[in-house]
Amino acid sequence: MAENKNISEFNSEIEKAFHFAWHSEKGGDDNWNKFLSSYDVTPLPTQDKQSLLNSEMKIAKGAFPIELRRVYEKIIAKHSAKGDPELTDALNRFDMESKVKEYYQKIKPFLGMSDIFGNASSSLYKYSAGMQKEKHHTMKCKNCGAPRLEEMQYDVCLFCGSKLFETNK
Amino acid sequence: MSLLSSIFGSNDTSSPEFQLLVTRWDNYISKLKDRYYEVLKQSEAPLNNVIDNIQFDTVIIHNIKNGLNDQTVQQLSKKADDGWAKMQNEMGKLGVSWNLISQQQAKVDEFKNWLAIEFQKFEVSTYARAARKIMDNVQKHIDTNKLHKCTQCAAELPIKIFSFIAINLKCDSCGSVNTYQPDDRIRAMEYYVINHLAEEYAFSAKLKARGDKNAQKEYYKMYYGYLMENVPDKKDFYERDMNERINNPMFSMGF
Repeated sequence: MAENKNISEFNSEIEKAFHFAWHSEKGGDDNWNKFLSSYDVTPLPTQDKQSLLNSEMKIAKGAFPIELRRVYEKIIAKHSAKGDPELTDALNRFDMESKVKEYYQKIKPFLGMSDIFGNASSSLYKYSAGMQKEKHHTMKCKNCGAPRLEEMQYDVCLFCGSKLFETNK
Repeated sequence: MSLLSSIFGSNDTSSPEFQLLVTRWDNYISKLKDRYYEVLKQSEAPLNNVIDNIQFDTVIIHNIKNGLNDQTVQQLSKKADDGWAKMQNEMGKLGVSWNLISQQQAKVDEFKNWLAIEFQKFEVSTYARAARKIMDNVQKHIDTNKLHKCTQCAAELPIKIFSFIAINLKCDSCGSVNTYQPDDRIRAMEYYVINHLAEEYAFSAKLKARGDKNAQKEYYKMYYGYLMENVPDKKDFYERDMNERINNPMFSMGF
């Protein structure tokens, strides 16, 4: 079955925005700003951009995800106006959160190796630290002090008959 | 274009466009393989450092292995799938037959299989290196000449320091029962050292067993044989385990 033309246009516009954002300079550039204005989206103020760049959510390249999200919202609004039921269904199924997350995965810095070894380093000594030395003892009767005389002696003292092992009641 | 080929696509492998796509696809997979080696190369120096400083357990190796598995097996497999989706689309546009498309798709499975085996080799050899270092550390830590005397009469007891379970030993001289619990470092060797060395010993059989159910039995025999030889205290336990795995068909599904 041939794909609905409106849906194809919507998908390709979403992909185009994704790639535009992804290939822009870190935090956005002039081309990205022009792209934003073509959708009537205002870029983040410089101060906000600086604040985001200094935040914990590091990026290695590309525009900020929130700006891409705003473009997506405009694209959805534009296509909603077409009144095509199939397209409306596709728009309702569009998963904004996972699309934005997918984009963030592309622009976040690769810290792979240092992250792997950094995270693992806490377990270098952790489990070896509490290891105990060998222990050697003889079980004795608490009543008379006679040593245990049989390997399978788990009941009473052979000398005075007291319980050799006490259990909690 | 004939009616059939317009429906089922063309079987013509000589078209320059198709050959170009195949070359691109082969190069893409080759780059993924290069990336695999690149990631492992990057891990070499820090991994050597970790193994040099390891003490008595391999928990850190497990954590690193999971991270590297994600960076290599998981991510590169996903890239292969993503790449194939695009390639399939382009081949579809060229009108290539399903038969030829399937042949190219098989390269994804071949690549994933290659990746899994290569990573398994890396995993087994890394654990084995760590195990040898741990064994060395334990040997330096343990006084093998220490004499163990009965707590009641001081007669010498035939205690084996390299034991893996606590034992009750009756003194030949006075009859008192001495309870001996081995050093935790020695007990931990059963899993952190001997288990990994057994995997290394039986690894060739494990690889063979991927496509041969009969070879699985050989793997179990080699793996458990090594454990039985090196953990004699638990020979009966491992023998039971081995027979269960050899005879119960449920265990042949794990390879």
